[in-house]
Amino acid sequence: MKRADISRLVKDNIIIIALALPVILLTMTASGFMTVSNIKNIFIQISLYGIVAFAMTISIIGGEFDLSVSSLLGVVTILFTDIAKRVNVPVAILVCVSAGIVVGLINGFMVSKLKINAFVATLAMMLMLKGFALTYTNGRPINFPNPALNAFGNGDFLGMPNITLFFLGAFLITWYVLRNTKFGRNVYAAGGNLVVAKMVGINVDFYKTMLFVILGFATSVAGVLMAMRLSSGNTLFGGDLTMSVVAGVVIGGTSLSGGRGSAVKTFWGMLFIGVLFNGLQRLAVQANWQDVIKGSILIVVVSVDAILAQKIPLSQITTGRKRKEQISALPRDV
Amino acid sequence: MQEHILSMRGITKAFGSTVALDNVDLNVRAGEIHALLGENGAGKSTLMKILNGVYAADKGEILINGVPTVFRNIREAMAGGISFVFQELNLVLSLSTLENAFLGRLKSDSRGIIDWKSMTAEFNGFMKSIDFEMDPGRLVSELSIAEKQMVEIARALMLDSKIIVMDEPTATLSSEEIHKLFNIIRILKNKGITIIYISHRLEEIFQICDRLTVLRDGKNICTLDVAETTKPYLIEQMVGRSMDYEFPEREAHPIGEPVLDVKNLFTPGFLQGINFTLYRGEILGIAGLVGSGRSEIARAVFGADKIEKGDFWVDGKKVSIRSTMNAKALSIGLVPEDRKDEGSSIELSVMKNITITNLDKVSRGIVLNRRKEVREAKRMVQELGVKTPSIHHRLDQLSGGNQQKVVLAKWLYNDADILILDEPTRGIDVGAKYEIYLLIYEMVKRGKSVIMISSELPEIFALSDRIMVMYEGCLQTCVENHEGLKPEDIMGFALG
Repeated sequence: MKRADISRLVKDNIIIIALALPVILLTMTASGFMTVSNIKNIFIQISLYGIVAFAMTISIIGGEFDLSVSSLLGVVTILFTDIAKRVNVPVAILVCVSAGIVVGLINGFMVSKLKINAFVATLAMMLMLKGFALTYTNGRPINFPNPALNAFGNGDFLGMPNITLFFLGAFLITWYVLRNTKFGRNVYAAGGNLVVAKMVGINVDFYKTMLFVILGFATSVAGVLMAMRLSSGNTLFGGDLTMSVVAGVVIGGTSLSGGRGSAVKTFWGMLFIGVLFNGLQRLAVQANWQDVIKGSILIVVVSVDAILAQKIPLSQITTGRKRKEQISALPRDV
Repeated sequence: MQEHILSMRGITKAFGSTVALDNVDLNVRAGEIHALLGENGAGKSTLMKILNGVYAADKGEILINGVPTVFRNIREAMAGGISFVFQELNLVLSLSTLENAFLGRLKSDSRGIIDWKSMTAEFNGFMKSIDFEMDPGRLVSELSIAEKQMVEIARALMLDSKIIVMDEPTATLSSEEIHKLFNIIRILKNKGITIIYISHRLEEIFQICDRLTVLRDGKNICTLDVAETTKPYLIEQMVGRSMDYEFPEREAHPIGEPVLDVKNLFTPGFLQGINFTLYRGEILGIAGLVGSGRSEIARAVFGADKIEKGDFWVDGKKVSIRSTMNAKALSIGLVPEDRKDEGSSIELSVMKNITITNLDKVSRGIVLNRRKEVREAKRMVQELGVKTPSIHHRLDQLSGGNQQKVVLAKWLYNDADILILDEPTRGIDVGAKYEIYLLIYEMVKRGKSVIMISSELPEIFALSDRIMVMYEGCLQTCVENHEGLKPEDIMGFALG
């Protein structure tokens, strides 16, 4: 095996290597880490944010970014609990999902039609949603203890937590859409080179808008589940959503410059984040220090990735899945 | 024997198992203009990248004025008196012309405050000395490709280098600008500066170069005095086989009814009422200087730019073209001027670049049929003779000519009836050009219609059925291409 092949292999699987390290360390040092209940726990911890992370993966591959999801999640939990309390649950779900889609449409409109930079547009949206949520609730949480909903939010199905099933569902759908549909292909094309996408007659405005709509939808689903789980709606919910989700996507290896990445990468990235959170809690690291450590690890993983990327000669790079006919092997695809 | 200012001896460089350069020598005499020739992939660029330290040679040595020298990077090379004008523009678009010209060596006083006055004076003085006009305050992003190239050239020239390497400096220039550039090169030569000149355009070699070295497949083929050789001989040396003609022989192809009618086309601040008709099976050449509005016609007809007013008829029906989606639906395809940034996604694979124009063809509902996609892509690659290790290789792994074939392939795959080709052979080598010409003929024989924009008049003359000439946003003339037509006539219109 040539050196370049090895570094390629390392690069493509860096996230798994990065994940293996804390797993091994924690198995040795933290008692009770490698137990079924704890692993289940880790998945529960990442499930709701993970749903948003897959939508964020699509949007980052498509070359866009959304800061407003953190506020939207809080708004959705509030809307859900309040409406479920006053009207009924189906209406609450309908309103929440519609709200998510409408927010996505507005974000998409600002970015694709008004040509506002996504960072600025969604920052504005984040502020507006936060303000709306605070006005709506006066900053107080809304509680709605409903046994049936709570049981669903915390329940299991065939040994799997319900919310983790949603997480896995989001993973599979995202994976399939990105890999096997026209929509997915055009998202890669638009994110990789917007001008080229335009010049081959792809409706880029539609795709840009859809990126935000998908994010709005995914966030509303995560918000509804969170409200069920916690029997409460709170402006504060989801405060660290954007950062955790983007960290998961980037650590997984999806490129922030667009056009490259996959759902599988994000799956591993979120799992890494989950193991890290869990491990730091188990090792009883002080909360404030946890953030410092998370930040440092984000830098380390991303820079190792960047360094390895430079080491691989261009002649080794192919796209597409590994196939027999390929001369220089070891490609990696979506 | 004359003194060699630069001597590269026995240079060998391999990338993995591919040998890019095999024991190559390049000896350049002081004060000469030395051409470096070869097809894409012959090793010219690799050799220059070894000279400036981007790559390290596996074997061999570099002597400058007889002294063994190794530059570790381009800064050291520049400090050592060698500067480079590359094919890809290395400019900061958001800075001014002046700032770009002095990039990396801005003048300042002892406190670190930039000395705009003396830089402006030096820039203007330099521009005057080469008889070129340019506003130092304009943003580079506002300049045309040709003007950008001039900034790049000015930057290299103002460094006071002893040796200047120019990699295809004329690829994006109009003939008037090329003329100016050649004057500049001659002024430099008179100042005793040595120039290494890389170009695909053989006429240019005969116009300004003294000697030349031909590379083929990473090997030295010959080093000659330009005066001693001929164009056909050089082509044979470069391609490795005898090529009697630069262009395929014209074949009669039937020309049918009008397929595209453009009436009274205006674009904001550019096109001034353009009217023309394209017929089925026709090759309509558009000549004119860079910036005369040729590409603007292409972009307007393809819906890529906003138009002020204008009507389009396709197959006799009045249509509205307001976006590239409209144009694609009307079976129009555009191969843009800028292959790298607009024509193709270099990060995507060959296959994905081809099928991108019409995923419906390889999908059932919203789901891609990957097997069918592979089959279709392979068919196109085979049909167009694209040389690629596999259809899954990234596009930037291919030579320029093959990349361009992929860009063509995606519109053929979409079965576009009207193909607009903007500079279809820019920056690609003789052999690949010939193949592209054959493809263009093949298309019209199948009843497609082609609009071909080119800065190379011989190309326009060799292929077009009719020739349109643009000047400052206006259509000057549209003539049948017949035996008696002379390039001078066309140039006359192109110059206003």
